[in-house]
Amino acid sequence: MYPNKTKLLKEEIKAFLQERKGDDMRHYYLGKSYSENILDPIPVMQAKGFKYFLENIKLGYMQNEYFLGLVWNKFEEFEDKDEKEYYERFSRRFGGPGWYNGEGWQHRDHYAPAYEIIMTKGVRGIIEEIEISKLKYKDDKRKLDFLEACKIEMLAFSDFIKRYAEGCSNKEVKENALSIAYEAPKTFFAGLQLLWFCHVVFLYKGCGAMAFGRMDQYLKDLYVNDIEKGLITFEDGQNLLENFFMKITEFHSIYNICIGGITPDGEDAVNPLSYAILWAVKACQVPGPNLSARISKKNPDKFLEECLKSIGTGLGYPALMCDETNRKALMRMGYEERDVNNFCMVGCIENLLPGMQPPWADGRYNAPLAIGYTLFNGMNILKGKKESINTGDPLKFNTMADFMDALEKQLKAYADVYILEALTESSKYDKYNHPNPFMSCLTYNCIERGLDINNGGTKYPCVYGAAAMGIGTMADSLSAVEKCVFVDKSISMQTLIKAIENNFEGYEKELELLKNAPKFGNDDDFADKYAVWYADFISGIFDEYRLDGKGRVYVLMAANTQNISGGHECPATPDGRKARAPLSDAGSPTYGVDVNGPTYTFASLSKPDYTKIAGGSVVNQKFSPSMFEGEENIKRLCALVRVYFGRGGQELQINSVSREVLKDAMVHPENYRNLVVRVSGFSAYFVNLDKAVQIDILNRTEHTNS
Amino acid sequence: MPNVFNIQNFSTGDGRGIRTTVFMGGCNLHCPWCHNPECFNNKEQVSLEDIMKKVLHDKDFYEASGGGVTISGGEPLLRFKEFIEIAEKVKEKGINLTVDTALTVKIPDFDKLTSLVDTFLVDLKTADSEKLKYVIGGNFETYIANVKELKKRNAEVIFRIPLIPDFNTDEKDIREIAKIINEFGFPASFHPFHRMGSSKYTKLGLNYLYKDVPLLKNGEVKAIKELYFSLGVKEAEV
Repeated sequence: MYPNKTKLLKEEIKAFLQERKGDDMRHYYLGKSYSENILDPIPVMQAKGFKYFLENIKLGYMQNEYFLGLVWNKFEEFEDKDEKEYYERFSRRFGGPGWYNGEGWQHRDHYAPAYEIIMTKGVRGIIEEIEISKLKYKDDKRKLDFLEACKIEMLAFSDFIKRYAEGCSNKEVKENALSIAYEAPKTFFAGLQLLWFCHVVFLYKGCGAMAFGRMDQYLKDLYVNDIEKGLITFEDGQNLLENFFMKITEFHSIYNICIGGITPDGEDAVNPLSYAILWAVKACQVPGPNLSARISKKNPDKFLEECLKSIGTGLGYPALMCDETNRKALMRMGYEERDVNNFCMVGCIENLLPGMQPPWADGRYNAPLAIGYTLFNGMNILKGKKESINTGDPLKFNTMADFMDALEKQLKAYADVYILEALTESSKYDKYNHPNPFMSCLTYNCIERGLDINNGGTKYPCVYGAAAMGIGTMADSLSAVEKCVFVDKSISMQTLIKAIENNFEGYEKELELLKNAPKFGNDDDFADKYAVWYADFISGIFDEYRLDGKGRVYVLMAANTQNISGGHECPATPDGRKARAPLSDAGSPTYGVDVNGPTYTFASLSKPDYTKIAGGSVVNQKFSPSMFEGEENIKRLCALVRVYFGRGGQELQINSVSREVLKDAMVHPENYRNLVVRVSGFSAYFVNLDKAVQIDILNRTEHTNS
Repeated sequence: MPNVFNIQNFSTGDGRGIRTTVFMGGCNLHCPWCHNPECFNNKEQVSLEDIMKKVLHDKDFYEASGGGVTISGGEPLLRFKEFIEIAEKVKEKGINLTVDTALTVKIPDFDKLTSLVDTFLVDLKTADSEKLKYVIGGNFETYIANVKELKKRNAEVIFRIPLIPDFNTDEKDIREIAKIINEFGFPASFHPFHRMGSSKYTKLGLNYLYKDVPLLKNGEVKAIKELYFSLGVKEAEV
């Protein structure tokens, strides 16, 4: 009934992206509408702008799509540049989470809506709820303004779907879209269409990294029902899902999809749709859908094995998330167990309770800078200026404990500055005047309370993340200081400082000694104890902060490719890393220092207490493609993951790419256009990455088997 | 102390599950394609304590994957006494033990051997006694007698067939090897020739005769295996 059009759509999108022209029209349409509704309450004025935008953008269609809605509709060729600029000014002034204006408003995207709300109630149910709330808050003008904005946006969304459907020449696709314009979806096909329209609208609003969340849960009933009733075959389901995932490639961002794990009641959540999603993503072989698999002890081995087979195709998906560790970490934050059981990921790996807290935001907490501050009493020697507090002359440190004491003070001071900057940013905009009604409608409690998602509407408060950089760099550096300066006394503190000041030039002997000190990743407690300390100490600092008196600060160990930019700010470190060189990546050991194979690496990696890393972590491990050949090898990898997670590991991102392949891909990119690789949490085409990132990936230790 | 030139954790090609492979030095053969040339004159010794430290490190992984320890080489049964020392320590800890042997040496005590080893990976390189003698230096009668001893004791045996271009890959070779496999009724695993050991030869200052021998193509490997299967050979995936 739904033939496979995956390849055709892929080609069609590719051709479309090559030809597309035009400018982003969002602010033009918004501004034009604002100028006409300037006397309305601001939330209402903005919602009318959203409506005007949806009413006026030109609609694009694709021949091979099962689902209507193109993100690129917001781009148009518009000749009168002066007029465009004139109206854009009205909109850009406002910015905020509803309509991102390019400035740094936090908590506006990196979100997983409670899609089950609209899947079960449809637009109709949400409008009804808004009406009831309006009656409840009839004397509260601010709430009424917000609720009116919600109603305008939901109706505009509904009209947009109708307008889109009416312009469609494919009867089947048209009728499917019309069926969900106001009502809840009755089929899997309709559910996917509604989901796609919601997603497209978020992208129109300028939200990136919008997660689909637990697709295998909120679409399960529709899928299973259709299959059981014989409305669709298994193949139909795959073809629809593939078509859906292929549409993601139309506009690049990171779209996290979470499968597996447990249900809110604590039961195994893996179901036929979990596999269908996994296999569809595997079949598409495109880097858009950022698939995450929650791996619980309650999930069958078959599920993990199928995940590993998908990874083994070279796709790198899904990222494997230990369910037990992540749930323990979230339970520490004081949420109800049912809600924790329903967690998913947004962006690359960040843990979020879908539809229950404002969107995620975080920043880079570049801890290795503090090693420099400790050695130079608050100075950043790369900038030649004082950046942090005084912690005393390091020449007077007599023991490693003295060194650690100063380092901890530096880290704490840096954390204060970090939080202050985050608060400054998030308090920039008045929350009543910068609502996101559409997002609030897909979030629990907002309508009922008459409050926006960022203005107290959610069940749980807003959280903020501190991406703790360089656990490997930190542990290796401290291990080297202890070993060389305090245990062996092979390098004096004075010499160490000189060596770092000179980026090890003229200090080759010292560099060698430092590099030979024990390193994190080899199951050697001498170094590993500092990784344990790092997780404990950093989470201890950030545990003490509260945003607006309530919101917790999560530590995470996920760097994306920020270990390169973070490293660029850092002077040389005692582990032998040169100034401006990349830091160790995310939660992984420093590239190439873990030399005893994965069982030793995992022994080290399971030492830090990840239940203190509530935001999530990323551990990159690469295996040669042969490691994925045959059922026996898949079972070995399955055992490896089960043991690591059983010991308290939190996350694994496995790559199946060989060094030889990557090296060759760097020389002959034209032969490797389809080579998908994982870069700390997101997947991309290798040949499209920066050279520095390519080299970085190359340097990650590859554990080959004989 | 046992003569051991390498201990490799997370080995995945030396038997079932995740294994730690202990490579014992010394070999009575001289296969020209050998990928472990460092075994021949190895002087390195590792204490039983250090061996067991690395072995026990991965106990959880063995249990989760149905793996264990594999003693390989070189020819691990050449230094029989040292082999038994390691084997006893491994079995004391209740860990599954596999041995990877060419079985062309004289075995002093088969009862002892089979009481300790759970699985025998037995190389079957050729069915041609002349080739065995002159190319690699093994005695065919010793070999067959040894396999019979294992069979007699109901040991679990998997034949390992290296697929060496021009040495044992034409139809005649295959039919003869298959005949031996079928006589014993053990399953077999197939191991296509690779040149990953070539850098070791350079490092050791040795000449690698198989340096320029091309690898078998996937299709060739497939055809060889198909022929074995058509002759009734069962594959063991390990």
